[in-house]
Amino acid sequence: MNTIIATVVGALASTVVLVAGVNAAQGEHKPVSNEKLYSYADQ
Amino acid sequence: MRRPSPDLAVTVAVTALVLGPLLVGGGYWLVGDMVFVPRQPWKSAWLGLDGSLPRAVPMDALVSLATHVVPGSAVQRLLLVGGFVAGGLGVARLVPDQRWYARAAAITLFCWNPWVYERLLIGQWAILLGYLLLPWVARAALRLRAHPRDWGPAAVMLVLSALCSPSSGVMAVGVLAVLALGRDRRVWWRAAVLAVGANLTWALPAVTATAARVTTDGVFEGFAARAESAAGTAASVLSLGGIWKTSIVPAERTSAALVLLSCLLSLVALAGLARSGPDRRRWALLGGAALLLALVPAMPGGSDLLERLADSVPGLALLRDSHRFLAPLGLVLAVGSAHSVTAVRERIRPGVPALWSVVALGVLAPLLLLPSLAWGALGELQRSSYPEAWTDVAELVGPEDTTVVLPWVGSYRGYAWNHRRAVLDPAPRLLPGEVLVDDRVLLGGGRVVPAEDPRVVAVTGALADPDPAAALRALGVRWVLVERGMGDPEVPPGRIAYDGEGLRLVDLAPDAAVTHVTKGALRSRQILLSIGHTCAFLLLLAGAAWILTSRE
Repeated sequence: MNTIIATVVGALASTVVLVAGVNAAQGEHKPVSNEKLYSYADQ
Repeated sequence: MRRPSPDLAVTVAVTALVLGPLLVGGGYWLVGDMVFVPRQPWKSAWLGLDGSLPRAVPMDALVSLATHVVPGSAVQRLLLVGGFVAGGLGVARLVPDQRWYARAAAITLFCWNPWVYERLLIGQWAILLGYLLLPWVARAALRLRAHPRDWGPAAVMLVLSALCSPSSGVMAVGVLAVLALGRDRRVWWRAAVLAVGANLTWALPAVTATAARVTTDGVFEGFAARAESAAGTAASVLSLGGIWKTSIVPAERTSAALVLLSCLLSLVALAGLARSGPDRRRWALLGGAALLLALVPAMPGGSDLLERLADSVPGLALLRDSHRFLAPLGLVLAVGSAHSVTAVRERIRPGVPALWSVVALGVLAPLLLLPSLAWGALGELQRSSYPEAWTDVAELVGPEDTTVVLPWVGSYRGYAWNHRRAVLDPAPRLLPGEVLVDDRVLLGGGRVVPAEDPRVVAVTGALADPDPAAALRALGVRWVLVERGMGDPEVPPGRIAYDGEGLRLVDLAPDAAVTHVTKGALRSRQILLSIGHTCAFLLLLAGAAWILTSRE
């Protein structure tokens, strides 16, 4: 029972960490171009 | 007996992890609508008394007073840190009978979720503050229902929420209504009086504003919740995300798998609500109403319906960014999360210690699902400081002067000294006198929320005049402040009074006279608004006094 629980929790946690971590790490600061500056939705 | 120390430790840890970069150095976080300035001069406009369009009334008045005591950078830190600490401790007190790790799960889910991230990154700090007060509103509501004579906490919390923003005030009333109202008619009357009295401070300026032209054309669609990933809008909203401003959505939320895992956390929390005692239906109703309100504009025909309704009831314009009204769902999920963690703990028997890992996952899941909120949104929020030119210019402008700020293209700026982050122009808060900025909201894709202030519309016409300097003087404008480095606007001719560090101040009236424009509101309106502010203030004092005396 312990093994099953640990496996499920471990799989869930590692999936979350992997997906969230990789995506978050790819996010980068993009300076605003003059054309897009005034468009609130763009930045 | 509840021990407060674990709650405080978890709350402080979460607060430090989110706001850390702001706390370890000087300067400001200036992003989106989040504008703090070193010293915000007092203006009657902060209370809506000058006849201009009321904006952040009365929060600007409070911030202005605070910056006369401590610098604006300290005010920003105090408000943000105070808000997170209040939110974390408040939500823990909503589940006082739960073990510390269950309360910790409530704290992490409440203070660390996509709604918090998105409102922080869009700069709506006052609305975030209102959200962080919701647990205390809920506590006050539950207390009022249990003891109808105990109105003090509800009065204090409703006034504080209304001070944050109109939508925070409305949300607080909603939470109070769902959690407090029952068969006892005394509670109905007390709740109604408190709700009206507390919200007079923003409602009266808004209702009586002669300069306001509330626009609802296309705004419900423009501000509707939207899908962050392939999982769809409903999944985004259920997991407390889905803001209309796609450019600030954290990178991990574009993953359908992650959004669905976040939904799983929400579902587990909702399941936990079943254990929340006799109030479970009220919590479920509160969460369901918040979810529905956030989703309506995104439903087929929803934004058109709201637009048609808003034509008859202008007050519905308050719902234009209805995603912000998702906030109570965060509170509901936090309460449910605590009960879910407790349910898991109760299943731990000798021989199955591995279930402790599920408990730990319940506490840490919000952080794991949204790592982008850590440490100033992983660097998205960077500290910056105003160049000295801003204070130099502020010293040249008089309290009775009117200044127009160029470029005349929207009110968001991307200063080089602020890392090119779009931020609401700080000039109206930093300069004394009346400061006019183009207040159209350009949403991208050609959608524009038109200017709501007739003075702004008049300046647009004056700038297009063959003699813009004379046309602006006729409107009572003496100064033109040109913020450089963002386009090349045509500047009306005049004497250059200041030029340096990205700012140029042009005096339109070195020799000519500026037309005196009476900007004061009707005396009767000023009296009415003063009564409203006084009522709210007295309600706050009376509520606080009630709390203090009832404890003795």
